[in-house]
Amino acid sequence: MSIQLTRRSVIGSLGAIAVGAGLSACGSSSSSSGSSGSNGGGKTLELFNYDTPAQAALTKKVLDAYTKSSGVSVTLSTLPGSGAAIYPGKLRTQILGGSAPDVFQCWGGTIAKPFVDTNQVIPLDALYQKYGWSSELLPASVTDLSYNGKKYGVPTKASSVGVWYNTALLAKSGHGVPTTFAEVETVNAALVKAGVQPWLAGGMYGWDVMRFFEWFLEHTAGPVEHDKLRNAQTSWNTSSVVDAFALLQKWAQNKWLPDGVMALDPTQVEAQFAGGKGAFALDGQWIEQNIVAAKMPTSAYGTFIPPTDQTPLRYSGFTEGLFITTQSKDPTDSEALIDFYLKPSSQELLQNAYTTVTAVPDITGYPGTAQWKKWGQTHQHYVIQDQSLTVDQANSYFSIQSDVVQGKQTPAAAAAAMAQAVPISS
Amino acid sequence: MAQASTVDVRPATVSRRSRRHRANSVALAFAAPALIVYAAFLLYPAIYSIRISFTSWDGLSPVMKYVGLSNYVKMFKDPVMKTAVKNNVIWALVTIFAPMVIGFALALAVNSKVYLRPFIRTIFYMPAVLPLVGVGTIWNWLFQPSGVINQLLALIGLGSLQNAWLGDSTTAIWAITIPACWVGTGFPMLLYLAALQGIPSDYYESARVDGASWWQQLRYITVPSLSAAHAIILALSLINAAKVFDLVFAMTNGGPGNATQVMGTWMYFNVFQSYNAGYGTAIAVVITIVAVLVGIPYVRAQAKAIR
Repeated sequence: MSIQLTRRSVIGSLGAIAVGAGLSACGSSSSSSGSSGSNGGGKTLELFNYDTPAQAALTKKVLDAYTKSSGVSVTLSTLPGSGAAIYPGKLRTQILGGSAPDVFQCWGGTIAKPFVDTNQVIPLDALYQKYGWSSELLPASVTDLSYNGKKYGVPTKASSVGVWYNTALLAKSGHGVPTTFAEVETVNAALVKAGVQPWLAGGMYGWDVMRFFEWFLEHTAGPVEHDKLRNAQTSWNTSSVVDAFALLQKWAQNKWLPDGVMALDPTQVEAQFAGGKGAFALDGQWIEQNIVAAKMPTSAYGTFIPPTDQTPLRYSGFTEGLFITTQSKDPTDSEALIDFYLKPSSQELLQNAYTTVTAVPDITGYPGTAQWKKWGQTHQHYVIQDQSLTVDQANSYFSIQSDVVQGKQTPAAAAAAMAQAVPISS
Repeated sequence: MAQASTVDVRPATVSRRSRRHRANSVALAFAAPALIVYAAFLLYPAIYSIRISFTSWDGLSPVMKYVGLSNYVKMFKDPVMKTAVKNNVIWALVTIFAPMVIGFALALAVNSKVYLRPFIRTIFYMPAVLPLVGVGTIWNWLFQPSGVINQLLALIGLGSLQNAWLGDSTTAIWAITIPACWVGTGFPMLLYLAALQGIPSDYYESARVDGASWWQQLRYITVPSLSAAHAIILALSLINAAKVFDLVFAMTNGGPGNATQVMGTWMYFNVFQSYNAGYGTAIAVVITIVAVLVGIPYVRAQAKAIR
């Protein structure tokens, strides 16, 4: 039997294909709209984070162990290397598309806040009681993921921004580890004289240079005023802010920060530090992982809390943690997954060197990170500036900071501009 | 006789109308699948975006609050938007005229009998096929304070001109236009080359017989004969200049500070980073309007050419 193609049959077929395609598109979108649900008889959860491939391999081990113990399988979706610049946007798109993950990882402060404000994540106070998380986790980190008096996230990583130094290059300055702010500047000058780049930093995204300014502000304003400034409880147009901007300008003009710092990519700069290109870096514990990855001995590097000449001695820090979305079809399994994730055995499997779980022993091979874990229990931290200010305020700050570093704005004008960008909250 | 004639004509008119109607229906039926896809994936999102631009939506909340034209009014007060518009204008001026002039010169060069002509054409066109993010990354390295460009300047005795090209607000946007020109020259070169090959050689022979110099041949024959190519290149480059995003995002992320923000990146920052989806979408609407306005002469010229 032969089929005769007529104009009508062709048009009819095309119409049917169009309708069929439309219907099949509807079908596939509805089946993929929920990540949790039935999958071959078992339940499936989705965890979304920003693990690097190496970290993701370790996370998968934990998830496999969870599947073995619970029968619930977990799909891991990652967006590595994007930082807070892109990851929250992808997460938001998933949420808007109705295919939110059950559990996601996020930074605290103002980065996670929009998800809290729009009821996209569930409050976890009851779960903290149910699982006893409060007694297992660093209290300061729990606070970082609390909003409006409620706990919305479970902290998994407590990052501390400290000074990391190359021992051989520091020795060229003829000085030891500085213990006061003035000593830091003396070492800087000595290093320049010795032909060594004192500090490495990458200002391309703003936040790397911001760490210097907030350190300077802690030094010039002291903890009480600094907290008021971060929380918009006092005007930024003050002498302490002017002094902090003046220090930033001085450090840039004296070439203590690298030439053209505002165009440098922080990822490349971290690799340069691990490769022995500069004496100091103001970085988190992850820099030690870069050092290990670069096959440099960790003994060739040291770390200390940036001296502020203030009491108490505080440093910048931030917390990352896990959140359960309101779209999760299985919040009970999601909370069980988080509890499993927090177990010391899981944290060891993850090699989470800056874990918030107090019972986890130090991960071997990272002496600097182990030191920071100890300091985390004896010292306070203030929430890093770009997670204290709103995104708009942080963007304004980055613009002002850039002008100060380039010498295009005076410290006094910068302080006045900051006062406009961060008005006192009522 | 006249009556008979009228009776004869009527069925023919009806039949012609019916044929035209049937032809239109068939054409519409053939176009329908494409129109459905176009409406679903282009028209609907575009209309929806216009709606969002009149709201203060943060991009997450289930509720959108209408704010009228305030997002559009805000653009006039936004200092970063002013910088972005200024940068778009700089971008348009540099990345339209430099690639046009260089592309034209290269087309003239490779149109003549040059040794290894296909190879040279390929070399000149190659940057145009590279992904822009990759191009941005490569040029970012070249422009670093210790990068190749500063090293070259030192090598040729111009060390005093060394600069942190991308870290300096006054030079950053100009620096990014250089890779844009590098990438953007291949396309005009190809178009000009195709157009050059369409100019009858008789014109040049006659001109030579009349004693016209090379410059006179270029001015009075070549350039006027390429007017269609000029129009196409100009229009497409203008549209691309209005939409620019990739290179700026990859090379400076809009920095230092906001010195290299263009409308495309500022729209992205507002929609995806600052939770100002309403305002960001209003910027996107403006970009679209600009791109459409500059594209109208091109579309009209094309339609005229087809007719």
